Amino acid sequence: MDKRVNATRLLRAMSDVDDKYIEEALETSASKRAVVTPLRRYSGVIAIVAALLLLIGGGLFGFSKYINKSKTASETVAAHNQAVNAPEMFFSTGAAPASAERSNDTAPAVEETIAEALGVDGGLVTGGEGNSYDYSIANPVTVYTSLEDLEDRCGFDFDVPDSVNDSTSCVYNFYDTAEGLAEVRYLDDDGNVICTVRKSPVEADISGCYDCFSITEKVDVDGLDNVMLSGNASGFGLATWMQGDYSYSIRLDETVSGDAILDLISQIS
Amino acid sequence: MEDQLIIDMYFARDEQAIACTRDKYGRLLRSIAYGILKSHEDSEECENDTYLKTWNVIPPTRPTAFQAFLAKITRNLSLDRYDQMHAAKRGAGEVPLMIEELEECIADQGASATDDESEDEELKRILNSFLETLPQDARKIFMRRYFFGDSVNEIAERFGFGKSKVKMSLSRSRDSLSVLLKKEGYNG
Repeated sequence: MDKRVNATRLLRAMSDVDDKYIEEALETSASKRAVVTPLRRYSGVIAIVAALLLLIGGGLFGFSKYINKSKTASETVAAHNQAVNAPEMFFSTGAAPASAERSNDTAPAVEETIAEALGVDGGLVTGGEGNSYDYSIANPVTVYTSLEDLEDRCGFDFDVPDSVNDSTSCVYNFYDTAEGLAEVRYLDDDGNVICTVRKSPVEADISGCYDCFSITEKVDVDGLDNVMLSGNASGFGLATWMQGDYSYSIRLDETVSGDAILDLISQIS
Repeated sequence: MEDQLIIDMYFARDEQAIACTRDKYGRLLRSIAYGILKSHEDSEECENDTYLKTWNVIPPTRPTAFQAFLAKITRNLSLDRYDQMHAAKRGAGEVPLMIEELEECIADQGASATDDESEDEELKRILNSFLETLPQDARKIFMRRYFFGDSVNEIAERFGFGKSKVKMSLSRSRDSLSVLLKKEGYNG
C-alpha cells in the first residue's frame, strides 16, 4: 500500500516540476511537432533506392552513348580510340542536362517577387554563363503584383477596397491550401501591413488572427451570413463573415469604428 | 495577446482577463483535464475552476511562465477531482495506469508516505534533477506521459515515434528515476 501511496505522491509531485519542462513539452506540440510522414520515415531507404537508380540510369545512359558512338566509330579508323575514351565521357561533369537548364531571362517574374519578399534569392543557384539550376522548394505562398493575376490564380473574383486608410499599396498573396486562399495586404508608406483582407471557398474562420479581443459582436448585414466583429473599447480590428460559398475576413492593424469596418466589408465580395 | 498583458489585467481586477485566458489557453487546459478525467463535462468544470483559482491567486502571485502556471493548476484540480470521483476504488483512464507504472520506481520496502512538506520539496528537487539528466526526447515523452497524462498512442502520434520507442523510452526513464530515488533515499 505504501508503494502505491508513494507512487501517487510521485505523480502529484510532477505538478511541481520546473516550468521550463512543461513549456518544453508544450512547445513541441505548438511549433516543433515532428510529424514523420511515410516519406520521412523511409527516407533512408528512399535515398538508397534513388542512388541505385541514378547509378543504373547513369550507367545505361553512358552505355547507350557508348554503343551509339561505337557503332559510328566502328566504321572509322578511330573506333578504338573512342572506346578507350568512353569511360571519361560517362563521368563527365560538363554542362547540365538541357531539362535542368533555365535562362535567367525566362524565370517568371512572380518568383522574383517572392524572392524579393522573402529576402532570399528564391532558391535559384546560378550555374554560370547565364544558366541557373532551380533547386527551390515549393513555397505555399505565391506573391502577385496585381489583383487580376491573383484572381486568375484563385479561379474566383475578389473585390476589395481601392484603398484602406488612404493606402493603395497592396501585396497580393495566394496560399496554396486545399481550397486555396486569396489575400490582399495593404501597406503603409513604411511597408507595414495595416490591413489584411482574405477570401477562400471554405466555411471557416480564415482570418488567421488569434488576438484576444474584449468585444465580439454579431451584426446583421444584408446578404452576408455570420458577420462577426471583434475589437475592444477603441473600436473593431477584425471581421469575419460568409457570403455564398466563400468565407471572408478583414483584419486591421488599428481599430476603427463599427461604421468604418462595415463600410470596408461592403466593398469586399 | 501577450501573457504579461493578461496578468496585468488580473492585477487590475479586470474580468476580461478571464475571457482572454480562456481564449488563449482554454483548449490546452481542457486537454490537460481531459487527459486525466476522460470526461468532457468534468474537464470543462476543471477549466472553469482553473480560471477562478487563477483569479484568486493573481495578485499577489505574478507568474513568470503563465502557460505552465495555468497547466499546473489545471493538473492539480483534475487530480483532486479524480480522487473525489474514484475514492476507495480503482478508477478508469490513464491515472491508475500512470500510478501503476510509477510504482516500478518505488522500492518494495519504501518509506511510508507522510504529509511532510519538506519531503514534498525534496521530491520536487529530485524530479527536477532527474528531468535535467534526461535527453530531450525522453524528457518530452516522460512529461507528456506523467504530467499531461497522454497515453502511449497519443505520445507516439504527437511526436511521430513508434509506440515501441515510446514504451522503451518511458521504461528507461522510470529505471533511471528508480535508481535516483534509491540513491536519494526516497525509498527508505
